Amino acid sequence: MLLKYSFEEESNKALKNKNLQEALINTTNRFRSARNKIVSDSDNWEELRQVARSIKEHTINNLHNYLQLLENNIISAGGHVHWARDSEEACEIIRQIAQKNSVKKIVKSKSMATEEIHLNKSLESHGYSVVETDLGEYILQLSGDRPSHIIAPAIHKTKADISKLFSEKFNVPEYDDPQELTSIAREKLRSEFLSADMGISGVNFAAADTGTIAIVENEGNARLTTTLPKIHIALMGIEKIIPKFDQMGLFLKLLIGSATGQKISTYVSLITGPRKKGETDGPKEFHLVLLDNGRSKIMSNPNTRESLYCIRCGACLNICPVYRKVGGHAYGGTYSGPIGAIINPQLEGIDKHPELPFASSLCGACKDVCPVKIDFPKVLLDLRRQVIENKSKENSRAGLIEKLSFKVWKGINKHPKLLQLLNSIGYYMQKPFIGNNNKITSLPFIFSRWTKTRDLAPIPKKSFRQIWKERNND
Amino acid sequence: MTNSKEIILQNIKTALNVQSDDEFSPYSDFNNDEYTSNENSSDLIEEFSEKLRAQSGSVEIIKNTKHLNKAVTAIFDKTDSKSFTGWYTEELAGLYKTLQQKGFKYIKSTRNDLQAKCDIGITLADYAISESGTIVLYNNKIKNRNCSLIVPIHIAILQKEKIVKSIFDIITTISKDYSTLDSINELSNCITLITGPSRTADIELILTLGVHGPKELYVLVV
Repeated sequence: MLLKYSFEEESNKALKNKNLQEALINTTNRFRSARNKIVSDSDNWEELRQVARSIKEHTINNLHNYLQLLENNIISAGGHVHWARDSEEACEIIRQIAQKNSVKKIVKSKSMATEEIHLNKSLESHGYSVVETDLGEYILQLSGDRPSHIIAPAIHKTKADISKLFSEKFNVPEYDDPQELTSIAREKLRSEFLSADMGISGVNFAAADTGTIAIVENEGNARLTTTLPKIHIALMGIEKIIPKFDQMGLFLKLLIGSATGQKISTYVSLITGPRKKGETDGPKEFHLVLLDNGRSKIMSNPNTRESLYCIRCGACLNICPVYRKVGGHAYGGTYSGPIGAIINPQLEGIDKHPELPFASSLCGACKDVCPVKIDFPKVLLDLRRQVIENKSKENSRAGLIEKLSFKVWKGINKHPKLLQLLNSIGYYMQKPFIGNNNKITSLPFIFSRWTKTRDLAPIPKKSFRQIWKERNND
Repeated sequence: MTNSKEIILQNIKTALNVQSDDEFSPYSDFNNDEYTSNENSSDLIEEFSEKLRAQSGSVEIIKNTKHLNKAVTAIFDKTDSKSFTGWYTEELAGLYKTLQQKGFKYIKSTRNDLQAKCDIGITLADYAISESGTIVLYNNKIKNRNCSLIVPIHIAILQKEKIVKSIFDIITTISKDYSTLDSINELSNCITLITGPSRTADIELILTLGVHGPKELYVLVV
């Protein structure tokens, strides 16, 4: 599915899509200003970020211990725990549970981990009916589309698109009112909930010391998914664990504030195992699937390990000047924005996403808003290094040219006289390439790649050193 | 399956360069209690009401039980509701009796499809958080999840001394409540925090209420 994908091509497509451009700005602005308000209303946001980061750091550095503890506590609460090394194994585990229980219909609440393992495709190919129940995800499923934002997955669809889609699929008139469209979805999905045999959800946090999972949402579809069907399966990446239930308030506050700028989401469910004897609702079976899928490999590089601190709030998308223009689809993987740029190459292979580490200006705005202070620029640079190393392994000439260029560059910069001479020559030679905007707009030969998508500031007549010298002489 | 577990744990240990298993000391630099405010519940009623109303919930302060029955009946009349379901807690028995006397139908069945047909679900909030306008429900044997979930209108009754300030306070409160038990699971296997009616903004960021859960939420503070 991702074989023929190019960040450059997808970005160009996105830039030409007027609806998407408008939706991206509206959505990211809305989330940003709401988040900023939460941060400015809080008197200790910075302290909370710092402490959350250090908890995450400690947790990842002791992950094996905490996973074992979590398993023990889920089992003593009456739940089942499964371990999946990769996507195939996770899908297989879930299929087996479905098969054992003669499941036909499955309802799902929003989960990036299930997107990551392409769960729907796997279940559907084995004859199961799978229904996405988050309104945005439902719209995408009906139209065969993919999420473009981690929190608001269907922002690239207009009211008119959805109205037409519902009209075609459900044989209803075209309603232009979101309230009407929402009512149609409620009715359709309610009957799906009442007839489903199994519910699949994600996990926002899992507290190792109690075996409690937290699920955050506004619609109530996750509550229905985890309450009505007789089986509940929760899928989580192994990094979603926190040591103690005591830390749940801290992480919920940071996640929700950073994601949507709410003080708290409409619903938060704290679930510990299946229904108990004598209870009248809730699932009879609870299964937790722990997904590795490349995460333990990420841990082996201390420079990029902090990628696993991510709590999937999406604040880095909303602030990112690149994401805000190219949108989620351009990232070509499960995750988008700055977090996608660092996670997709590490989870799916750097050879599959060699462009993503470069899809950033390294401005660091993502690092500034991240609730667990992930140092994105540092991780991106390490990934860039890996891409270049791979490239020079594959093609020794390309690597040689790059190395040689940098050697020459270094040599020139080390010799001020030479630099000054070349500057003076360059000042005159650049004239034919300067456009109407007084910038260098097109360069010949291999340099053309630089000016293809951006202009270069021209070489000034006098260098900084010259100006400095003149001033001091005055 | 055991095999995969061992492989994953081994991969993690290799990645972390862990030599032996016995060097684990749990994280101790965070204590939730340091972030709690312990403010007096009666000082928080106003904030709670204001915040919940901002999230499209309705709040009414009730003087006594007689007024409570009246307020609930008024909601039935206003919303043209005919039937209800609710938690089996003893505290609510009197209210149910009054409602039945007024001709409203009490659905006792806990079948999902039958409860889903009720107009109103009634619960008794275990706690509330003032700072966000949230009610907290400990679901268990006599306090089932459906009553606050699959009905179009949810009425929650909240005792005014049960309001705490923040998310940190509620975590401490929950921890205290299960500290005398074997596990949190004994207290409730599903603790639900609810702040207003179900909402979405998935279509062009326009706020719409009642996409999946209740379309209306009424909290009556007694």
